Amino acid sequence: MNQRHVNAVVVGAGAGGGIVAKELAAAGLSVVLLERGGWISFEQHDHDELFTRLQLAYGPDERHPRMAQTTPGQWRRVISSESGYSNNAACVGSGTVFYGAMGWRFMEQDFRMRTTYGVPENSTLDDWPISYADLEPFYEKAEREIGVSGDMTTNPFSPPRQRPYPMPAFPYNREGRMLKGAADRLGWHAFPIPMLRNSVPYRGRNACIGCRYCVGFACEINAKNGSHNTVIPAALATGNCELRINVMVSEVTVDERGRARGVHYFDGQDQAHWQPADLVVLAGGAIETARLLLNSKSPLFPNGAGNRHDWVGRNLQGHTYCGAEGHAAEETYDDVGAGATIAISDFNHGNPGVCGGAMLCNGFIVTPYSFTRVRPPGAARWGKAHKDFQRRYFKHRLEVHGPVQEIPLFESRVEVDPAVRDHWGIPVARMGGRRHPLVLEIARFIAAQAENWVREAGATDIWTRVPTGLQGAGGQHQAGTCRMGSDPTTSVTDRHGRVHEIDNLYISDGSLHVTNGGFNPALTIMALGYWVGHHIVQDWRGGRPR
Amino acid sequence: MRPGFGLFLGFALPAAVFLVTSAIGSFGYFHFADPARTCNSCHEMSSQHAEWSVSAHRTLHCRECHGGSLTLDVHALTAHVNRVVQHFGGGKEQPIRLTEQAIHVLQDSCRDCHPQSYADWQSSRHSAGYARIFLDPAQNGSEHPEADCLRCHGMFFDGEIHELVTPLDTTGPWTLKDPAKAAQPTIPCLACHRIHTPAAAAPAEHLQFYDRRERTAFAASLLPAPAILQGDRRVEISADPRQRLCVQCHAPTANHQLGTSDDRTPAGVHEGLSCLDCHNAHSNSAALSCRSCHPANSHCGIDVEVMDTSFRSRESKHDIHRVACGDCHEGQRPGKN
Amino acid sequence: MNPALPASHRTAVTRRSALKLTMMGLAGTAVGAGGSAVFPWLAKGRPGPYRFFTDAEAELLVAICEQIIPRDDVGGATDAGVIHYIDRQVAAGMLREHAPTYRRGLEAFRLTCLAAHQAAFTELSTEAKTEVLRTIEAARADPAPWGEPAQDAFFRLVVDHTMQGFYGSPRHGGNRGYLSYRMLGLDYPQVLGRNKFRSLEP
Repeated sequence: MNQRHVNAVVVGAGAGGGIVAKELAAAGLSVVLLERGGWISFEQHDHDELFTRLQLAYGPDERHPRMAQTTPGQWRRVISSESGYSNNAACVGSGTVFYGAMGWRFMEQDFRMRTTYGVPENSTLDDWPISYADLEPFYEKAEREIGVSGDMTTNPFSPPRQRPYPMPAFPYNREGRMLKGAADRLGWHAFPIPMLRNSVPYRGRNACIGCRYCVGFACEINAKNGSHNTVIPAALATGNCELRINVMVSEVTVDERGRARGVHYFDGQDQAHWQPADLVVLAGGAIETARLLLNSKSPLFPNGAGNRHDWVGRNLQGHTYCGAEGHAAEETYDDVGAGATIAISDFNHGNPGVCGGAMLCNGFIVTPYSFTRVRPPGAARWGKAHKDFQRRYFKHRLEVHGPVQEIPLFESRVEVDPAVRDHWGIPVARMGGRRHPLVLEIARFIAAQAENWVREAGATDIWTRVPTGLQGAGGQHQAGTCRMGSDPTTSVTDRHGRVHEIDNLYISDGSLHVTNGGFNPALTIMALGYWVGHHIVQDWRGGRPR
Repeated sequence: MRPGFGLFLGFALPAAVFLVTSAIGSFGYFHFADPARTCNSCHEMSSQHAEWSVSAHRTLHCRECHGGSLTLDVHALTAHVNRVVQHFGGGKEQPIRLTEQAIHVLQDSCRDCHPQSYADWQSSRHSAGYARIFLDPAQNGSEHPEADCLRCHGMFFDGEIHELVTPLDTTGPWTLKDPAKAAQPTIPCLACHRIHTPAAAAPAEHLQFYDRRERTAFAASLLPAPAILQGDRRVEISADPRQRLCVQCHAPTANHQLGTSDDRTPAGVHEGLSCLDCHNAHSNSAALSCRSCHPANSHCGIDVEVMDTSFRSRESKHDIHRVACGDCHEGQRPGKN
Repeated sequence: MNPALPASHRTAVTRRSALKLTMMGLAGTAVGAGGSAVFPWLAKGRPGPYRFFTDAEAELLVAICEQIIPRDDVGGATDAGVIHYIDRQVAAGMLREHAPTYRRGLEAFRLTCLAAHQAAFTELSTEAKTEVLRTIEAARADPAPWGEPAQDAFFRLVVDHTMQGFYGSPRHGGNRGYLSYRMLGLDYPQVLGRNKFRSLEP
């Protein structure tokens, strides 16, 4: 069925897509926002740990399989509740509905990794085509429109900012206060984690009440800020944006003159539709956006839209988490959520002999069933020893960890599987490749700092968590598969997120990241959403972009 | 006689009569027979039935509170039939619970036997209806209605918040989607009362908190007794387990500091008292509370009822829950100097 | 009515019809009430507290789960009703897909135990039970009865499901009375204030 022609169609209602849709709708463009999931409400799943951990609570459902790498050259079919899927939710708001909501800015060095460190062997490490200064006003806009609580005054490594956060920082919890004292003694510079969560009532929604359940759950009082409760309602309120949920986009059509004409999609009843538009914005996340481009073959781009030089799907990155944990004699658990309150940025850069690093922070409250998976290597998983561990550690944890910035590799990639198709017959994504060996070195270095921190805070019986193998690119915080760049032969989009050679096809999600920072990437994806949206609007001359 | 009519009279009508009367016979059987042969023949009911059979309400037949099968309540009938179909159809097991409608019907039975308690409750804010709670412009203008409101107001509401009130924003104007709910109480008897508790059980066993998320009622004796802090000091709390029910809704913020959020834990001169030492359980009134402990005058010689506290006037800055002698009388005892 | 018939005949027809209707009515009532009276016996077609497991399977699984989370000064898997969690979820819930695994796995487990100890698992001493479980966990038992699932994979599955039943929400059938929450010292329902609204009304 042919849909009415619109100015813009945006694919994916997550962090990036919601913002672009709102920016375009507010500028007067007619927008259709397509989302493969539906709206999530708190009461559907409330604080049910088993349901949210075991079921496909936030999607995508079984109709969306992927192929996860087992050994190089071997894959197995997985659905989103299984490991190896690299899931990022399918619902209005996507991950921003139930994330932990850390709202980090990347640092200045994160945008020029090649200049800062040189290129490690075999890697595709590079500088971004934009600088932190370019993105700063858009970080600020994201912090204000979506809503961030924070205070960087005690962090000397914070990148420069024009204005303070719109909401005060959250106070440290009991574990945070112990870690603060320890950081001071070590001469490190602890500060409250910036959170996309209301510390005070903000823009008509509540302040956080500090419940026990945050990451992994929708917020019961709507104090956690995502695109679903900020920009998407704002986009709809303009009257210029139509949100269509439970639809699956199969292809972007690119004509013989190299222009995107619109997208094909299936609705909730599996009926095929054609949505023509003046411009197309892809915001399906690093895996689905790459998959969609690769599945959009045309005479001009026989290997997929924007893939003339085989860069679509390349450089798949996530974060290599590492950390340390130990037992505290006194109770560290104070039942005040969300739990993660304190961080240091002392080891993001400037580490002797290593390329990049990570911020370190304490963790969110781990709910009882999930805690049964928190064990030092070799610990008993059952019997009396299991029970004793639960009782001894649950309220006595001192734990810090960090997302190590990965070093991109050309061979770590998203492809489309030659044989396996989803419910609609669309070839599925398959992830392959490995992590750069240097990442493990950095992780060991960061984990050692984590160990120092918890030991100084009074922990005993400490163990560290460092990945042992190089398997598995992707995982959490997938990024990098359609990197932006100035050279069309070594990147997928230009510095404004516009796909090379296809003037009216844009990308607005983590795919654009050249490198992924040593931080949770949500706020950077949001800032890029504003950046891309701003440039689309600036170039817009009615009917078609200039 | 037209052949069509003959067919009707000879076959269709008797068949219809048979069907209707067999339904009446069936529902009549369920209405009048011993519960052991009807409701309680399903294993899902056995624990409820066992509790009821030793409870203070054991002399009442199921139907006297829950309504019988001979009813014209279409919702109740379809719900029951659906449950039977689901059970034998091997579908996903649905927990058995009362609909909000059934709870309001049940409430009339409570009233018939406990008219004084019912009248007291009606005089209190705990009887506030949906309109009073969810259409308050002052409240909605500062914090718009959320799913979480239903935790303490409308815990039995069958649906999600967006099915109750619209719009979910701070600008309004707000309306109830079902105007009939306006006067329905948001905190009905079953929010706090456990009807099937054994007669001999302690008072706190007869009270419960209905947790909407778990769809479970927690006996007051099993509810947490939280530590309440004044700075680092742990405030002395009454051992009365009944008040654990009160603190579920009249709760402090996450750090459990005294007097934060809606916490009314007594400190100061009244530290250690139970809510129910001063408040009537149903009316919430504390009007007679001073007299139940104090001789007319306090030890400082002033009539306690005229002291400048929130007992005398809501405007007073001395909250009766936390007032201490030194708040008004700096270092001295007036009347003795 | 056919006006051609004599009046008396018409009355006779009406009377006969009325009688027939009354009879049908009585029969209907009797069948309805009688049918309902028989109803309880229909429900007793499958006695026992389990929806998926046979009594013998359940007895074995209860014994395994109790080793995984044993009772000490706090209750264990049996006290928390872990079996009811697994039974309900395998029958028609979140663990449906594992139904064949349980059927085959428990049978293989039974055979393994019989072969090694010439006794049922439930009859062994605690030490012997632990030994059996450690052997299966390490995949050191005779692989003959084990095809799919493999013994160690089956044991990992049961451990994980036992944890779910012990620590998950009681709404799914386990964690009776919030046993595990009380063990960990976690308040439930959480005492947590929402706002500080003060009514404008007197």
